[in-house]
Amino acid sequence: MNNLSVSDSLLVSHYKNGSEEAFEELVARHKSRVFTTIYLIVKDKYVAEDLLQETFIKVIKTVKSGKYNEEGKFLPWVLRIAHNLAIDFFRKDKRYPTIVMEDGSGVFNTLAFAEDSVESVQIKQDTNALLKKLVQELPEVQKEVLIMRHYMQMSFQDIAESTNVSINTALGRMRYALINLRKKMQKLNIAYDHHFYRK
Amino acid sequence: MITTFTENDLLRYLYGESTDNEKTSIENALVCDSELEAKYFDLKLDSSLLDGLLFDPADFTLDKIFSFSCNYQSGT
Repeated sequence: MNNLSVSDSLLVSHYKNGSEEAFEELVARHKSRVFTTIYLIVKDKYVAEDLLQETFIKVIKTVKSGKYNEEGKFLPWVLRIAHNLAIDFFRKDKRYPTIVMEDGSGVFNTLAFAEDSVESVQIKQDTNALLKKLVQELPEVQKEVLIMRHYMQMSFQDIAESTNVSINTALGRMRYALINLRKKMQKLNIAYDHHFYRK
Repeated sequence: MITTFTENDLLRYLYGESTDNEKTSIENALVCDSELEAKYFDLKLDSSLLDGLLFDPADFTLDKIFSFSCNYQSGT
């Protein structure tokens, strides 16, 4: 089932009726956006993998138990679940001292995935990883708006309400996030590198 | 009448949040005002940069999700 003309809503309906293929199509469509949203918040690939699983387990349970609200759109709903799990993790994680390695990963990940060191080197070389780093260096309030607007597709009005600021403040934060990102890119002399424009 | 637009207006336009009237006015202004046009393209460029920032989860994570889904039955 690889037909983009089939709406998410219809796929959810097929999934409710037992089509695992429909679920696989939904995941295939949205996995990158959901994963990126989590990853940019928790800053750790392995934690992001776990939280992605948790997110979709919630989705599976909700849809299969008939509790999915048809009125909402599928992707924003999934992104809200992902965002909440990531924020919960982030808050919990901040309560405990963590040992952070030079590359920003947690020490336990380094130990657990030591065999992936070649992969880690590749990731470091990946331009996406660099851009991710730049996004993560943004002030927290700017990064929050950027993730909510660009990846979670929340409107500026919804972001303003959810973060208790005026819409102009939300817009301003987004604008400064983009400007800061541009400045950082220019500083690294990579602003117009075509590798960044994959689409 | 000359209408001036702020970068916040351009940002809302870029993300498809302008009203129909605003949208028309901004599109007209972009044709006439090269400074405004430059600001808009900067924002658009920055935003398109983020479109490229997408990561994919590992296949084993997806396999676990699909496996959970296949085995999960509501009420169990």
